[in-house]
Amino acid sequence: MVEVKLIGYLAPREIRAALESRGIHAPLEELMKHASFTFSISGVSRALTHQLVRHRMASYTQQSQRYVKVEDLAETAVKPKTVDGDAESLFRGVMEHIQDAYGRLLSAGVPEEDARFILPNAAPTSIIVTMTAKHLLHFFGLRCCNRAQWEIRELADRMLKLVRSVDPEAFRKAGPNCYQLGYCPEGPFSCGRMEEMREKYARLGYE
Amino acid sequence: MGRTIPHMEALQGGPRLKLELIAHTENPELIAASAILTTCTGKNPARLVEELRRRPGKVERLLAGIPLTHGSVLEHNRLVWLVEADESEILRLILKHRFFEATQLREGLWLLSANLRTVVEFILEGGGWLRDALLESIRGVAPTIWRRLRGGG
Repeated sequence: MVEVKLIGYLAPREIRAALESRGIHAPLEELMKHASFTFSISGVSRALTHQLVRHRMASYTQQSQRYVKVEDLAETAVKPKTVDGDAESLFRGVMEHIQDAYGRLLSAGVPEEDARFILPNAAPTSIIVTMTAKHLLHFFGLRCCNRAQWEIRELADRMLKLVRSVDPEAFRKAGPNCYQLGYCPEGPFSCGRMEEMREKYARLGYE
Repeated sequence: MGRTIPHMEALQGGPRLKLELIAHTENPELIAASAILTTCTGKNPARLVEELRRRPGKVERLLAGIPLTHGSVLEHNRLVWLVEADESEILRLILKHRFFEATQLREGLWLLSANLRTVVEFILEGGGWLRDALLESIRGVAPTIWRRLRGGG
């Protein structure tokens, strides 16, 4: 079960308040560089976190597969919606097989750090992620986009809702690049649904 | 605009400088301790935060035990300072320590921010003109880290 929570933040409005109480004003764009948000993310796949950590200007702390044994993969693995019918039983069978083989490797004395080499991208994980507000805008631009992979797109939407809940004004223009820029930069790969996206991200987290 | 920063004058014969911590994320050491346990337990990080919130002694023990050079768990926070300094001093700082973020508010007045890892590494490397003021500024926010740094790491 995916769970995303905001476990720490310094919102742009808080920095603005600290400055204004000292008679100083700064534009929002500058405050976004100093504001920071920390998320607890769990129940997502390793496939998702491989994509997430490509956002280099962020901080990550992830559950280790060297120190935490993987258990009950058949029940806990992240299964895409497209894996259904016959594919679902195949998927489940492979997870059971991997779990069994993983357990046997451990029993044979193979350490966790080596036994994990057979674990799948579907293995669930937990991760703490911290980004500045400025880098979050970049992240949302790419990952709220319809071209993003479904799992990280769903995560990005949840994160956007959370930051809008603590600083609605700072993130009013946040969303996929088409929403932020007013045009789609994806060229021939554009989903062609800019109007729909505009409506979605004008509302997300504000209702 | 136009007022001076009331306290935290530095430094060791260095250039003119005043520094004040004006904002920070809540309880950086609690989040750092939760990050330590996230790596080595199967628990979800948000649950760890709630458990550790009730056990400040454990937070302190965890923070007292980590090697400060394994600082990635110290990155999940932000500290923001108002700094009075010359442009050359800020330029020197951000050229040497690229994870500091700086905004010029007016001539000689800066908004500076970083996470605790950046602060720790800056101080352990000697820190130069900003060291003492920066160290003193984290005393109330990250007391365990402050004690360790004051004692030499």
